[in-house]
Amino acid sequence: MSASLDGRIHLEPGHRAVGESVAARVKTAAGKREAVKVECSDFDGVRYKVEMPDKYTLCVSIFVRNFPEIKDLVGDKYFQELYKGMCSTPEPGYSLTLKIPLNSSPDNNVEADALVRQLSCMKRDVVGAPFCVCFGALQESKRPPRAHYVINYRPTESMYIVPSTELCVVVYAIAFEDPIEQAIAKVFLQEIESSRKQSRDLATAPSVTYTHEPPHELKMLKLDVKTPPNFVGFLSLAISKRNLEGDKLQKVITLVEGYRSFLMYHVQGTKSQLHTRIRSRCTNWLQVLNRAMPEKLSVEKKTITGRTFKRGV
Amino acid sequence: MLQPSTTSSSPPSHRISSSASPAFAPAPAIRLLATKYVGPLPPLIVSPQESMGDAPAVVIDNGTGFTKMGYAGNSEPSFIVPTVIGTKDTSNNRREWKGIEDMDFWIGDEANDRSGEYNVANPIRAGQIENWDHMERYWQRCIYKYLRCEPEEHLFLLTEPPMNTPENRELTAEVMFETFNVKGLYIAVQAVLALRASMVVAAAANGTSADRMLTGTVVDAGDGVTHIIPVADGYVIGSCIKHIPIAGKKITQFIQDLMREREPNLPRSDAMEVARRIKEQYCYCCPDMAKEFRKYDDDPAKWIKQHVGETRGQRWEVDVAYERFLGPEIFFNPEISNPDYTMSLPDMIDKTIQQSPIDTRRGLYENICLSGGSTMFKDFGRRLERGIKRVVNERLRKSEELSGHKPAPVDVNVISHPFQRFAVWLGGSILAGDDRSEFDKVVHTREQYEEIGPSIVRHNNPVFSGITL
Ligand SMILES: Nc1ncnc2c1ncn2[C@@H]1O[C@H](COP(=O)(O)OP(=O)(O)O)[C@@H](O)[C@H]1O
Ligand SMILES: [Mg+2]
Repeated sequence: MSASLDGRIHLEPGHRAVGESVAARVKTAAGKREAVKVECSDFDGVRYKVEMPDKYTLCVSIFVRNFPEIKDLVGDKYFQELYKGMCSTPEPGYSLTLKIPLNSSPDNNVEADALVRQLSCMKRDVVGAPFCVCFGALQESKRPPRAHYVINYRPTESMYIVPSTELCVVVYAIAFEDPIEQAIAKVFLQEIESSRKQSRDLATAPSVTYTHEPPHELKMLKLDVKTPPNFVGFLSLAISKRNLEGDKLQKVITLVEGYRSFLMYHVQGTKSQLHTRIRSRCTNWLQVLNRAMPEKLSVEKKTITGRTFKRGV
Repeated sequence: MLQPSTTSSSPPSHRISSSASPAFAPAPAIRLLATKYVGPLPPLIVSPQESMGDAPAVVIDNGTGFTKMGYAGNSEPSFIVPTVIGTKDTSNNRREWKGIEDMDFWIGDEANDRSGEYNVANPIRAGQIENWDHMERYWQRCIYKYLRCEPEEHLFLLTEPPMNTPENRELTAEVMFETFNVKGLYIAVQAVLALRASMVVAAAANGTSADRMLTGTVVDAGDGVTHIIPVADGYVIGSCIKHIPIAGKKITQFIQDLMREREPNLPRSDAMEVARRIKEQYCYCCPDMAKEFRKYDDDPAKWIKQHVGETRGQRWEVDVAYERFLGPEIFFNPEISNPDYTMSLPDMIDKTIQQSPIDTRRGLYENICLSGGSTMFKDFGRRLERGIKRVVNERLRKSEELSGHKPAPVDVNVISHPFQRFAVWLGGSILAGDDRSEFDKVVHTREQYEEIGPSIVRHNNPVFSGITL
């Protein structure tokens, strides 16, 4: 798969609507700034609000379903470090509110772009915070503070991280409500496992397993692993230090945090492909039928008296 | 015309957020209303979800030229992107099958940018969906790449052109429920949404609350066709709808033709795109064509604009002259571009209203509202109102001559507002946001679809009508 396919195969780490609303404020001179109030959703029940409470301040708020849990996992200070000087009291209905003073916002484009990117990627960075902690530790061959991390990021689905100094095992308990999607997702997950095993190109990719039973890493921890209704299976990825080399950390966090959405995107893409084929088969079939019809009709018919007539069309 | 009220002291009564403080009221982004920060604006819409319960509905208005999409409750769409898709013909290169064909396409500007490598097509023609394979994929990207939502969690509001067929509506429902498993779907009539938006905006500007009953004439001039749609009590009077073949694309074409003859510098390769930009930037409606020509000839420096562009690194410059007013003029004097077509827009509007039931006519003249990008020309509303008044007064004069009685005057109002570009979308955002309880009553749920099937959308539940649901 060439890198140029990225825009179609993968989902972006950030939200375009958030990025554009922020960019239009951060990159505009004070006199030309427009007021703003934008609310939008993201995957996994996440919601954003971008607003200017006054002329000189931009607020970006995010709602994440299991935020208290994440905060507990990564520690109170984590987000204050990540969003230095921006954290403010969360607005009602939101988990985290960042305040950006516009009169001291970056005046060069590189910094401004970085700020825009950071704010548009809040979902990845907040929901993916435990990954960041674990992968960061792995890069330095250390153990993160906890023996394991459970992220209940969807009402009935969770992600588990089991870190060690050599590997980080990430496990998804995946469910799809719709029976057709369930079936496609199963094929997908089986394929991922087998192509990892078969393809030599992928020898350095994280090892992948797809199981119905909780994988051995989870069993070892004696966690209370609930299998959700409409359960599809457990997918485990073993991320090694090698997978994080160079500048790959952010990329890996994006892929791992967004895996469920990515799967959903492709499952529904597959459905569209099926529909296209069904439509084209139906059209073909109707064309054949159509061609068959006039032939039958143009067969000579005789009246009861024996005269023949041709049917007009 | 609605003006941005920077000093609005009397709050509009259209459900205002209680947090609106007198010192500094947080305002919705109203790009068209404010070119710079104008301070407190009347909040038109209050988001329904102060509680964390319901996810906001998704509102998508797929136009022939442009798709407007975003979340209900906002005062403008998050994205306006061309309704085009760039696909690869996979039938003749089977050998290169890599298993990603189903995802190998782009939409919107990203498709236009790759027109060399991909076949760029328009899934919608004259308002109607023509290619369902393309449309399904177009929606997929709207949902996953632009809006980034899980369709299961959201109600969807889509729009349809006047006189959409029940079959099309069912096909839309099939894709929405079968492919995307949407939580619920409502397909609203574009004209009804545009009318609702216009009335809410006008009421907010006056500090009153909008009448729930919708009566008025919608003039929707988009990219392909211009529709004139009379609506009485929320119902489209289907038999009276009229179309004229003049809209955005025709105007762009006309401007391109005018300029190409005169301006050798105009780049040939993307001439339509350049002409479109020039149109949107410089064109306006003039009160009188003959006088306007004279104005330009008397003081060319004042009226003729220089437009600078760049094509593949080459800088070029052209003059923008008479086409500034001649472009939109074809609404009013269509014969200047096509000698075979002479029916002007004001005449057509008058004809539409005259053919409508007599008891609705007064309301239809009083509330003529504008929708679509091609109504955005400066002074378009003013020019239109004058044109219609002239036709109406002429008829009243004739009737007085014949009967000797002075007939009651007819009030003609053309309502302009700063949201015309996406009036349909805004109406949808209001319906699924502020009027959420009304929306919940008409939306078709996934459970209903699973029980009954696509026929649930065959007939639309009306909204904003006198009939209680
Ligand atoms: N400011 C403007 N002035 C004049 N025309 C505009 C302006 N903005 C957009 N348009 C034109 O409006 C048309 C698109 O209008 P729209 O209502 O989105 O169409 P549709 O719904 O049919 O896709 C395009 O032809 C575009 O060039
Ligand atoms: Mg339209």
